[in-house]
Amino acid sequence: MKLLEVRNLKVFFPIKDKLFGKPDKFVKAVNDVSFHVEKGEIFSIVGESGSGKSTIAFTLMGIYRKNNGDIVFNGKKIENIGDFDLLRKRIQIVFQDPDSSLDPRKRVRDIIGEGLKIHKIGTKAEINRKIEDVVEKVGLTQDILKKYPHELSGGQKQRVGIARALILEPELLILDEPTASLDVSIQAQILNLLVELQERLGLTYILITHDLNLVKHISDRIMVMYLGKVMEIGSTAQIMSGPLHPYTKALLASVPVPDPEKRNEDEETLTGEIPSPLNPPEGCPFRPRCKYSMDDCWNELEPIEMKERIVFCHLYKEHENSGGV
Amino acid sequence: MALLEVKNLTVDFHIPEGILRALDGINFTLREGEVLGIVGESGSGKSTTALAIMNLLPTPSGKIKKGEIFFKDEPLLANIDKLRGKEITMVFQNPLNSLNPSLKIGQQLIEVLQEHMGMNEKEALLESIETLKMMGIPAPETMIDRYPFEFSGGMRQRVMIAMAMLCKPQLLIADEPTTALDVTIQAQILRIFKNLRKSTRTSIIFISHDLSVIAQIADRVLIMYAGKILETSEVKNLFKNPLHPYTQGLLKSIPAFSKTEGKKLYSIPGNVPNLLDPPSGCVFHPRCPYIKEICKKAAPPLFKVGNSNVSCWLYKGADEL
Repeated sequence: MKLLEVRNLKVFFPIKDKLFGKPDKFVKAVNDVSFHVEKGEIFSIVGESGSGKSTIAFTLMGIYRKNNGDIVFNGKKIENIGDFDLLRKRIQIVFQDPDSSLDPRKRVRDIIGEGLKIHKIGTKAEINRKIEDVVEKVGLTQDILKKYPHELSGGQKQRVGIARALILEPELLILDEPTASLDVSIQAQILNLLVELQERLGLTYILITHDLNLVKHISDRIMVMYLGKVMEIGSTAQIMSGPLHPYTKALLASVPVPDPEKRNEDEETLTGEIPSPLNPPEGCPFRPRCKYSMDDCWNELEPIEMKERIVFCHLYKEHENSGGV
Repeated sequence: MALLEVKNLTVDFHIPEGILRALDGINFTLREGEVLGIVGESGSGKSTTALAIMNLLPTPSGKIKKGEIFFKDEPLLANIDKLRGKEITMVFQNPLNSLNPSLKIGQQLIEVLQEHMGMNEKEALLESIETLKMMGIPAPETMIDRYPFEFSGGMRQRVMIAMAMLCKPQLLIADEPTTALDVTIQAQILRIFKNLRKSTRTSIIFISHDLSVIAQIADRVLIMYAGKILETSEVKNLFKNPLHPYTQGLLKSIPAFSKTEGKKLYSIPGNVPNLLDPPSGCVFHPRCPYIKEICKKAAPPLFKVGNSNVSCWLYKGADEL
């Protein structure tokens, strides 16, 4: 069942040259993106900086306003700010950097309980019971509740961030680089906690990350993004063992392999840089760096669907609806 | 031959909360032409090691308490001011913080050559362009007239490496040089380091928290934890046959390496210790799955197992170093 559907989402940020007056340029952070998330799955959004993956997360949370497109949650279209306010109980987010997302002046008890207060859920006693419950769920002890964020280790802070997101009993949890700022030995602990919570509470995750080793291990389906556009969507097995889009191929080839016996001294690294999103290339955004680039690539892309997977690349035009490559 | 020899190096930081021992009697050597990887989590002492070698420890809080460093068999710290920037250079994690924002890239490069190599401006300019070209910077003749803010993160890091390589140093210390970069750019920068290894005689100390990156670049690896070296090994050996329980845990917790069922990963329990109050005995004992009585009481010496050295009581009976 589809829990979330996003259709033709566009999020543009205006750039003003003058202090007053009309904006004359836009950063097209998310440009015509469509995808859906099944109930109970881990859906990963992968991309490098500037690809628009975090913008999607913030738009789903109602922090950024969409310029265009539909967001459908549980069959209901989300349109105005009031809808987003209601939605925020059902969708919660865990941020990348727990240092900057936990209020340093508040005790852990108040940080975790704030969501309940804002949404006016429960009496004082109920709130306290819920806080104590959720703290246990994320593997912390009760004595942490009276501490301040600066007294906690990185792993503990991220657990508090997860507890704060879980206390509203959301259906969908957005994880924005949840382990990127943690030490290697702590990353695995947080990851295991997230997997365990998902299984126990029947949660749905959108995992936003640049760590492809992590994505391969944990997710059910993957969406690869580049410069605000979708490159490819498919199951983890499809994307990891048979990437179609040249960008996905290059991205996978760039991931360092944790095995000194497998040093490809001559592997092709992607040349060039990510273009500025202020002035993206015409047609396919990956065209200037793509070694298969051809005349067609200057034209706007249409999604090409093949057996549960979608690829945005002119190379696969003739394979459309033929049931695979 | 050993290019660099670190003997019993101990570094203390005097901070308001007390004395923090960031390095606790570490020993290692760097051979000529070698790429030595240093792996560790935050607080392990890997960056402190680099700063101690460069004599750039923050003053007045950081002090070398004990130990010696030899560069080509000479005491290093007496000569470091002459060597730094010429024979020994460093690349930092964040290239934007390490470039002067108000000077053009070209000026910053030329200055290095004029200062250390006594070149005139024209020679220095040509040499700078040549080095930038080696780093894969397109159209270096025009790029040298730009300011750091006009460069992307990957380009800035290339400039930093170019600056470090200008005087053809004997030792380059790279502290997390790819951590701030995107994965496709990281691959490009790693490629540059791989090429440097082939085309120059420069020895490299490559510091990273990422074992996958180390696997791609290093010849030999030091595993650091809480200011100690726990294991030293040839890179292939380290991944095939990790000796220290900490190394074993780190390797098992890499998602790509994981052999556990389903989506769960192996994880090392507990937290990195607080260095103001380090554990007694072996620094890893509170998190170790193989803990014995002796681990709580005495810090293990280095034992020689095959070509590797490991600081763990499990290997008692092997040759002590």
